Amino acid sequence: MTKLLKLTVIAVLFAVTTAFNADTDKDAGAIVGVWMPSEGTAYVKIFKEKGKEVYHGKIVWLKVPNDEAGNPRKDPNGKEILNMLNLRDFVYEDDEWVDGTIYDPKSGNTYYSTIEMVNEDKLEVRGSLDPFGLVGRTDTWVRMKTK
Amino acid sequence: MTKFFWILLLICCVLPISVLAQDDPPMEEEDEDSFVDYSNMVQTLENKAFASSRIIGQVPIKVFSLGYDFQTAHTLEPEPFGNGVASPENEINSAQGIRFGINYPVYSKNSFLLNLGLNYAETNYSFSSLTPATSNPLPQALDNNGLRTLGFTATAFKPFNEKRFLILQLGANLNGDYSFSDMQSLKYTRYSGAAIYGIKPNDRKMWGLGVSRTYLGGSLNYLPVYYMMYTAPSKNWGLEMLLPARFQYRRNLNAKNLLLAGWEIEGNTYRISNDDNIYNLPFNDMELRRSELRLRITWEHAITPQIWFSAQAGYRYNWSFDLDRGDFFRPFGDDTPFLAENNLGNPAYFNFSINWVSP
Repeated sequence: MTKLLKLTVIAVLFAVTTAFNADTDKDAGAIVGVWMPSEGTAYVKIFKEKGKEVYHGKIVWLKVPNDEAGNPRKDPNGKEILNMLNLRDFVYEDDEWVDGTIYDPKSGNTYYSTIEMVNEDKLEVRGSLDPFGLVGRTDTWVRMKTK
Repeated sequence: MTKFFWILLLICCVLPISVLAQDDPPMEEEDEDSFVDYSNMVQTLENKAFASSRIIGQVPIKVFSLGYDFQTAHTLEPEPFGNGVASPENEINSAQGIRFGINYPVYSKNSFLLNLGLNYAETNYSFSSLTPATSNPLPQALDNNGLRTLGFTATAFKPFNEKRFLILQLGANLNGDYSFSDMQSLKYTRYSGAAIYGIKPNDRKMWGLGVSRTYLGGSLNYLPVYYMMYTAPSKNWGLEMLLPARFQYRRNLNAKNLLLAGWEIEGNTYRISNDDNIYNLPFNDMELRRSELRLRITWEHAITPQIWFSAQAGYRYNWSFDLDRGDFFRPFGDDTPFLAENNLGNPAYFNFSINWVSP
């Protein structure tokens, strides 16, 4: 009887843990997709790193991909903006993606960043000068889909 | 001075953020890039585009600033009141003081931006020859406490769409010859403000027209203002101006160094206290209309992406250092006589500051 009770408890705990993990994975993965910042001049694809619970984003489309001379647009450090990784190292915690950084290819600067999902098609992406998010700016991004 | 050293050290060390290497990109769990035509995508929700408050290449916004301002030797020749006897020239060895500012974004979203600021500036005068206060107590007042400004500002940037925007600014300043141990009453607070309606055609240019209530010329006045921020297509140079208050030509030497040349007009009205009738005058509502044109060259240097050092040198040209009674609207060309029209010399000046910036 004791053995049966132990097995039951273990089974219940396993089921609860599995369900919890599955739910967490589902919430964390909700951010994956293609998003457009408010300026509307670029799309950013957010993806999960292979084998890790870490999320990144890269610029996959530019409204104006080339500069006045017809060359691919570059950031102040001379790197091409298209396909550049501009979101890095976000982890999911308490309904937010935190501890990440966002790179601004216009200025060439990197900021601390957190991402909050307002609904499944809208993100609030905050870049800040300090790790606490006190001095910064929040931008609204919307999800893109294929026609 | 030790206190300021520690503050500077704290600013230099504050929360640096590492610049990330873009090498060795992480692998995606599912790479579907080859199957997606991004140019054929549509928004799931309407996301209205708004003009941002900045342009490419501009001088970084100073969130926190601590500086020191120094004017070299010059003279002050005070005009006597009424039929008083003229005082000889007073020699000022130097006029110097600390300047401090915070410009904090309390609300910062793409559809609205609100910054609140706190500013403090002091000018302490060191006289080598000070004539006795006869019929004009100004040199004595400057020698006693110098001049101080403590101000609060609120700046709102409201974009209506991706091209049009409105800037509103309100300021409240407490100016005078007070000290912190003998603070000036808040009833002498002077209010200024500006409203500018503007257009941002692209990321390299924004401009606007507006009106301001200002003490730029020393006295209260209402002036039209022209705002423009511009960066050339080469991104090597630009212009930043809020006329008539300031104009600067910007040379972007590289990502860490900017060279600026231009002018700034600094002006305000300062209460000169005659509490307890210390100057033996039959009134206690003297105000110094101070306005100066600063022609200058500035070097802005990034120590880290967030910490910038600024060094400025120039010529401080006196526009007004006159005494009036009370606070009233005095438009350009107004011939209401001043209580005293004083002559202040024009020295060289230097200004250094360390700044925590929002790049």
